[in-house]
Amino acid sequence: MELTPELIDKIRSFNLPQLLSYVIVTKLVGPALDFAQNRIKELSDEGKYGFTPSETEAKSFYKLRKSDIYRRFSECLGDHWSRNLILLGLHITHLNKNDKREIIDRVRSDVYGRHGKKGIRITELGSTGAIVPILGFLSDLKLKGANSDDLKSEFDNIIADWQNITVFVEADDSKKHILNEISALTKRNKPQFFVFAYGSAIDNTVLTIAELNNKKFFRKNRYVLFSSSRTEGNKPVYMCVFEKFGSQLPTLG
Amino acid sequence: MVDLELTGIGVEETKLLLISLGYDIDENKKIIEKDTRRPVLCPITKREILLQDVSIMPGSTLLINTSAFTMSEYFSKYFKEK
Repeated sequence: MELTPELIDKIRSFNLPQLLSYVIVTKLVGPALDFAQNRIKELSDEGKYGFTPSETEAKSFYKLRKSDIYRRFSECLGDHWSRNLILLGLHITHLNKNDKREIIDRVRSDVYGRHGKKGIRITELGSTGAIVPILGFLSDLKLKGANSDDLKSEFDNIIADWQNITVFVEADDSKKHILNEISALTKRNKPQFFVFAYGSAIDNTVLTIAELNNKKFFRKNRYVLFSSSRTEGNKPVYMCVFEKFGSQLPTLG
Repeated sequence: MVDLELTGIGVEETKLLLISLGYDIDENKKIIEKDTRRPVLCPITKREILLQDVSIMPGSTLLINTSAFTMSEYFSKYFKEK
C-alpha cells in the first residue's frame, strides 16, 4: 500500500489500539508500515495506554491505588517498601470466591519468595482490614509530630511484633477466654494491641470489651480503645485497637 | 490528570507494538532487544519475559511479567500519574 497523504491522515486519526488493529488487518508493508510504526512509537510514548493479558486485574490495581486506605497509607508511610503488599491485600479483598483461592495461592507464593513471612503478614493487614486501625494509630502519631521516618519505624515495629500484639477471637471462644487474652495483653504493657473478631465471634467480643470498659479496666491499665466494624465479603468484621496513654515514639522522647 | 486506559490486545497486535518499540521475539517466544538480541528482563521478577506473559505499561514503556504481584509493584512503585 502506497503512503499517500490520505493514508497519513488516516493513520494519524487513530488512537493506539485502533492503529495496532488497522496495521494488522490491512497488512501494511514498506513505507506505509514504517510510518505506522513510527506513529505507534509516538502514541506509546504519550503513556495513555497499558496493554496486558490481565485487563481486569490491572484495572483493579489502578483503581485501588486511589482508594482511601491506600491513600492514607501513602500519606503516613510514603515510599515504605511494603506499599505494594497493601495494594495486593486490598485486591484480594475484592476478589470473588471463585477467583480467590487460585490467586491467593499464587500471591502468597510470590510474596513469600520476595519478603518471607513478614510480607505475608503485611498482605494480610490489607486483606483483613487490620491496616485500618494501624493507620489510625499512625495518623495520631503524625498529628503528635512524628515524621515520616518515625512512622515507618513504628510501622515496622508493629509488623515485627504483630503476633504478640493481636488477638483473633474464635467463634467458640468464651467470654472468660477473651477476657483472659485481653488481660494478658494489657499486662505486657505494649504501646498498642489489636483485637479482631469475625462473624459469630463478634457478640462475645463486644460484650466482653464493653464489660471491661464499664469496670474501667482499660482506664486503670492506662489504655484507651477505638473500635470499628466493617464487612469483608459477606462477613462482618469487628476490630478494636487499644492504645497506651501517653505512648510516644522513642525517637520523640 | 489523564486516566490510564488498560486493555487487552491480540498476539499479533502485541508483536507489532513490541517491534515498533525496538524489541523482537525469538524462536522460544521470549522477548529480546532487537539490537543486541539479549532477552529483556522484567524489572520486578528479574526473569525473562515470554510473549504470552507480557504487560506493556507506560513509564518509559515498561515490559513486565504479568501477575497480581507484579501489577501491585508496578502501580505502587513505577506508575506515575500524567
